[in-house]
Amino acid sequence: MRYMIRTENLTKNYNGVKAVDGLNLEVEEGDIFGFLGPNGAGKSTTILMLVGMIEPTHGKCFVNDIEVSKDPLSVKNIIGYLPEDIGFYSNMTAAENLNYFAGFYKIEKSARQKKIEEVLELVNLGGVTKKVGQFSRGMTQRLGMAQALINDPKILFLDEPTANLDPESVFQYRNLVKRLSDEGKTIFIVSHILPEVSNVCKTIGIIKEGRLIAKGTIDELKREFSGMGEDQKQMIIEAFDPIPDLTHSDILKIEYSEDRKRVVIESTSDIREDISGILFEKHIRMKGMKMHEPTLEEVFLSIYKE
Amino acid sequence: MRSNRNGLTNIVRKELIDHIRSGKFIIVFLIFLLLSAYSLHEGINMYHDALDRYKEHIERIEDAEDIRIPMPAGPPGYPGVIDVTEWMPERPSPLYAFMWMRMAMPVLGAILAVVMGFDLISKERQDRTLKTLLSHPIYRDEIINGKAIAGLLVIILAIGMTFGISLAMLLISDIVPTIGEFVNIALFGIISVILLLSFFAIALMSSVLFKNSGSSIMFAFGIILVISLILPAIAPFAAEMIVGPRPEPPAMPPMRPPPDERQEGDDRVPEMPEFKIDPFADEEWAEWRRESEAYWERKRPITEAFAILSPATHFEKISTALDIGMGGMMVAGPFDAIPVEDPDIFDRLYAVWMNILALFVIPAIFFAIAYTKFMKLDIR
Ligand SMILES: Nc1ncnc2c1ncn2[C@@H]1O[C@H](COP(=O)(O)OP(=O)(O)OP(=O)(O)O)[C@@H](O)[C@H]1O
Ligand SMILES: [Mg+2]
Repeated sequence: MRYMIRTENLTKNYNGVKAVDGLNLEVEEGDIFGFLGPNGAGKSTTILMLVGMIEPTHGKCFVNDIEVSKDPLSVKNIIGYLPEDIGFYSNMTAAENLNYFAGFYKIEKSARQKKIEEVLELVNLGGVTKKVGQFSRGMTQRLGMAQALINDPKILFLDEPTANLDPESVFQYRNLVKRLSDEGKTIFIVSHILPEVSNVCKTIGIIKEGRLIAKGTIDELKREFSGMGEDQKQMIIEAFDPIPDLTHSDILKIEYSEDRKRVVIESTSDIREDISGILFEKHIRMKGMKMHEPTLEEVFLSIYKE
Repeated sequence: MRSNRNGLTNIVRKELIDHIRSGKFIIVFLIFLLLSAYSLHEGINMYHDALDRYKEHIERIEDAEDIRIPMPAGPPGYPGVIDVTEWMPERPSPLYAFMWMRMAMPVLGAILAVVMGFDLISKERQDRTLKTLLSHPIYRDEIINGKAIAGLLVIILAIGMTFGISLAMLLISDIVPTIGEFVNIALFGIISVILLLSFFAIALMSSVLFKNSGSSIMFAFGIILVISLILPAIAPFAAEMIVGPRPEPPAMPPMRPPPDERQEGDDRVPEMPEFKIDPFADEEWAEWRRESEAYWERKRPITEAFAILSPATHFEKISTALDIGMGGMMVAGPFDAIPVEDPDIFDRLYAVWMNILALFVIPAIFFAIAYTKFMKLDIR
């Protein structure tokens, strides 16, 4: 696998404050990479350096093996970028805006018109003839996505792509991202909203105060940050009657609630069948029993709080 | 590696369309056109009046044989009596009709050019289109160069239309300029373009310096006001402060005419009176003249320095060299040193080469500031 995006000790200083601090990151070709972090973590700053809009203070970044600050134009030729709060020329229509931007690429005049219609169709703005000044924020956001696709890019950089989108549009956006990924594009998504990333991304990187603090697939992250090993299970049992002391050879740790109607068990294996047998014998009426997996949300919050 | 060479043309094309489709521009341009045409219309009326006076005068000269007018006393060398028949009238020039337009151009031009330029960059920053634009494969300088080129083209178009209409108005009024006069009018058109380009460059610079379009327009007009009105206006005072007050003329008049000995009812034309030169006073006057000349020579570079950044001042000087708005005097007066031969256009332009140079350098300076600032702009 080759890396489509690679950074080496990437750093950006703003008046002595490090917005991005020694970032080392690799994104494989064809990946959907989610770059997650709280407000002000340095996500947008990173993306701006990756797309050649600002120069790093230290370090380097490579996109498709081109060093961005050395040849930003070649990079811009093969990428699509959706900036956070994108702006368009309000006195022009969506198609006119796209036609202007398309003019900067080597696209034949005839192919250009077709491409514009195609990308507008992709974001559900086909046939809209209003001036962009009359667009809703969500429509503008969708046009931003179309704008990023105008040159059929190899790599897509999306900064908060679902901002201002209604649920229907979010659903369509997710499908679009998956389809683009299937076409072989590498997609880099920046967000501070977890579900946005967990729903579409294959790999996730978490950034905090300009530093990468975690990276991996969703499962890897869950495992790494839930504090539980691969062969460690957690179960929760609830009953209508108080639960007596439970014993089992696989149990590592057991916690009872004050009224003893709720138990949290950590064990080396799934022992739900054995436990339900024990409770049945003791005529305890069960309310529920479930395996507990830490949600990404919990993992994420625990990482943030560190 | 500049691979997408259509970048600049793409920007120029879009900016041109933007100007021409802009309601603000259309309104201000129409006002510009109307007021220019009106000022020319007034100029044409003045030209016709001057022409009538000229014809009257010619008739009078043809009728009379010897009309001599005694003149009041003046410094040595001034004639005491002049012969009107020797006093050659000059036919009014069609260039005279441009007098009002020449005066209106700096004001109207400043308004038109500032309206064209004051929000070119600030609006792109406010609307965040600059970031979107820069995410596509273009060089940053292509944006500001493209905007400057489009601005120049629109100014050429605007001045071209104005002068086209002006020429048509002249022809409709039966005023047919000679080839030479036509060249002067064309050159006047060119310096008008550069004048407007100067104001446009100031506005463009302002739009780079300010993110807020309101501040930008205020600043642009402020700069124009300072360099073309305030600095030239305070220049004489500043110069006087630097070189001191002007020399006082001597109390005694330089010479006295003899007493008029004509009796009442005597209608003889007097002989050329002989002036008595007071040798003592004359010496004093000569001294004063020398001092005055030296004084003005010292003062001139200071006043000129104050007006160096004023495109309107250079425009004025070059217009005068081109005879724009001149040649309406009915006669070349007896006190004018009548040139033996009219200097040709090259000599006249050569005499104001510094002003021509300055007029071209001013927009370059302001554009350079705009360019440098724009290249360093934080585009987040
Ligand atoms: N132009 C600037 N000058 C000074 N500091 C800046 C500038 N731009 C960003 N910063 C600082 O850099 C840090 C990172 O900002 P950045 O926009 O990258 O955060 P982010 O992760 O994208 O946040 P958000 O989720 O709010 O978009 C912040 O602390 C911000 O204040
Ligand atoms: Mg951001």
